[in-house]
Amino acid sequence: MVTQYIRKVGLFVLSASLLVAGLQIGARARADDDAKWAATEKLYNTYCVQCHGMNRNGKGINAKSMPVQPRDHSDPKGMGAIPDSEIVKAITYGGLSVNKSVLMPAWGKVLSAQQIQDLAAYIRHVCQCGAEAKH
Amino acid sequence: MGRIPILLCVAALTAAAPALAGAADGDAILKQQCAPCHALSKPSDLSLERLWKRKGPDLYYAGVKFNQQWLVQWLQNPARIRPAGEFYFKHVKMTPGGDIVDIAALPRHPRLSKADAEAAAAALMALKGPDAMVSKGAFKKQAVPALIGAMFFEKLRGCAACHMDKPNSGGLSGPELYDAGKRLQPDYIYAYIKAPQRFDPHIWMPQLDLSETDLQRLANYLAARQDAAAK
Repeated sequence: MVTQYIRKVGLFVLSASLLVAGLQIGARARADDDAKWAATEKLYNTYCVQCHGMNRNGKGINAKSMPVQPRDHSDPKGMGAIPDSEIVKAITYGGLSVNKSVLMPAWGKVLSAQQIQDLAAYIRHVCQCGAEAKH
Repeated sequence: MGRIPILLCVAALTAAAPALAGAADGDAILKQQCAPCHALSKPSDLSLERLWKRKGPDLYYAGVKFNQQWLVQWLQNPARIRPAGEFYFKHVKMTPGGDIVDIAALPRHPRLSKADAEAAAAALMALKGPDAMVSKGAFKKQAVPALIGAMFFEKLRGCAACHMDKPNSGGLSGPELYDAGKRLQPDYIYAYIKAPQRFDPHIWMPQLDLSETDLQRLANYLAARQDAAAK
């Protein structure tokens, strides 16, 4: 009886510790994830939000006056259909380079190639689609 | 005996006072009233973080940017230039229909008296920034039909995504440009369109791959935008 009781308590303590450890690892992973995106998020907030919006849904303060609406980066379906190479090309050389609107400007002379790669990955992170979602 | 020199001193001070009051000290106004929000000399830190922290546009090259007459008027009656303020991201309100400018969050610019505005404008015109920031004579004045200019600004080169070339027509994250010619020197307009990051290394305006013809066309179109109520 007593041995069984000790075994039960032991199992409970063990599972509780594992749960706590698991939660801690989860929280740390999330914090690492946030830190990983922080610098790129700042770039997005500086250059992209003016048109693509605070919610990344294409409804920025400039969008209302536009004849063509900016891309909704929160739309997994629409964004999932665009290959990584096209996202990088659109940011670097502008909308016209991928047969889209001139209202999407070329950022290749403002941002480095690495920053543009990071932004493309961040956009995948936002839409939870494409290459980033498969990781 | 002792009273005469004191009286003379008082008389001399009284006589000098109106002259001192009339000649406002422009440099002192800049230091006291402008420096808390604007850089009056080139900052050593021009990082993206600093761009986020600054409260107003840099003025260390105001003398090659603004028209003095406009400065004198504007400092007495400061009206909106940037619909979303500086920096736009800090004045955005999210609504179900999309982002809008949070007008209540926009800070008001101080207003100066006529004498102070004239003195401050003169002091600002002396701030030329580093050499070669703006090449004198790069702007070539030419007649660009307004319709052609507008077509390039609004449709072909995408400037209207962020700027208004007519009241209530265009984007909100960049300065209004329908009175750009009144506000800005033509050589500055040309230089800024050509390479905005020469002035603000991380500014949220793209550097487009524009031909010389395009640059001159757009700069001329904007330099001709003189009237705030232009249609």
